[in-house]
Amino acid sequence: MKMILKDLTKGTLIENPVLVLALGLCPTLAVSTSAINGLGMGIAATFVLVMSNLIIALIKKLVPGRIRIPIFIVVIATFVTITKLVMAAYTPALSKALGIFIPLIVVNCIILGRAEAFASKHNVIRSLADGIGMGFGFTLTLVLLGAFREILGSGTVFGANVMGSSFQPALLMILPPGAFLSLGLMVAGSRWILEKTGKEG
Amino acid sequence: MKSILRPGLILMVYGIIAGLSLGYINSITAPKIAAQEEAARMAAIEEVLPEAVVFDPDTVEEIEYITGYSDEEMTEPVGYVITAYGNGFSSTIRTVVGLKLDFTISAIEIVYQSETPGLGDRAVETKENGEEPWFEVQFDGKEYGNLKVDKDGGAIESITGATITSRAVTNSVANAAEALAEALETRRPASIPDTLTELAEPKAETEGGDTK
Repeated sequence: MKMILKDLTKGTLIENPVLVLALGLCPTLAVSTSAINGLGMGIAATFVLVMSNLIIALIKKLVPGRIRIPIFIVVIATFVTITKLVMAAYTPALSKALGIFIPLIVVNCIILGRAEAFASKHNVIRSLADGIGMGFGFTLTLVLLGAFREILGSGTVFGANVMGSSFQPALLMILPPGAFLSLGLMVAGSRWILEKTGKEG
Repeated sequence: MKSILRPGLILMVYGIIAGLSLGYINSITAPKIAAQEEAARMAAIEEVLPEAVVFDPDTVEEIEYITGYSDEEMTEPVGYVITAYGNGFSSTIRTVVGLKLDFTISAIEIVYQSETPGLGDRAVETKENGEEPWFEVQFDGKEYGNLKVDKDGGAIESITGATITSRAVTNSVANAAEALAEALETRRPASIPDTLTELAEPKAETEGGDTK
């Protein structure tokens, strides 16, 4: 029980996939131009992550070691395609906003990374908890990063104006350099919190 | 031999299971996706010809177009809507084009593209505080005869770093409008308003260098 709780919470900060493990940086940098895009990408990736962790934990005894990577990829790609189809059918606006980044979840290293490092070695319950925990950490990071960039770059959060009409948005923040600047600040901030609370390592 | 065959067969089993489940999901979502695309297309059609309330699809010389009427009885045509297809950098860009009766452009809306994110896909970007799609707005009220991007000496400001996309949209809109104008002109000259004959004259000159 204690382990499951740990699996659920570690992704938020201590083993945050983006800020600490430095996985999945490409989609992080690319879609965090607004909070809503970050949320959409986070939820989509979390769904794929939880489902692939579940299936891989279930079938891990049926997977010959030599071909485990192609099998993992088949499982992940299947769930990504399902996500893509469901999003296009029910949330066309989000599907349009995330566009090419949905198919790219296949190569999001968080998902293959957790399949290889965790789900293929642990039981179903712990793998599910790991998927949810890591997915939450990824989503939280993307939303915070997206909100930060959106406030400075467009003066809005989730599309709502928060900075008043006299605010001059710094366009740089929603362009690629802004992604690197914001991510650097967030990594520094997370290191600072980890060191303060003595949970480092 | 066995060491190759066994993993291969196992992988095939996984592939079959994945393929079957995807086929099932696709059979559920495909009609919904089609309905969403149709709704988006209808919304775009209404967007590019705001004066019209009734839309009547028709075909002339294999060009599909829609005539928009401002009244329910379809007696007052206000313009036409066509879809332009342009070969962009990484996709065929579909643009819904609204034309007034004199074939000047009422408005355009890009309904499908999968151009490079951050470059070509800025064709559908809404500027800074999300008011207007700045690239599309440039087409409002333009005549198709001299519709070119700035690099080709025209008035359409192209997207930085995405000249191919800009050119694809611009040229496809110009060509589609021209094709429809010519087709309608030959089919029913009586119904063409007088303004068109005036427009047709200067058009012929500027068209010369335009490659189709």
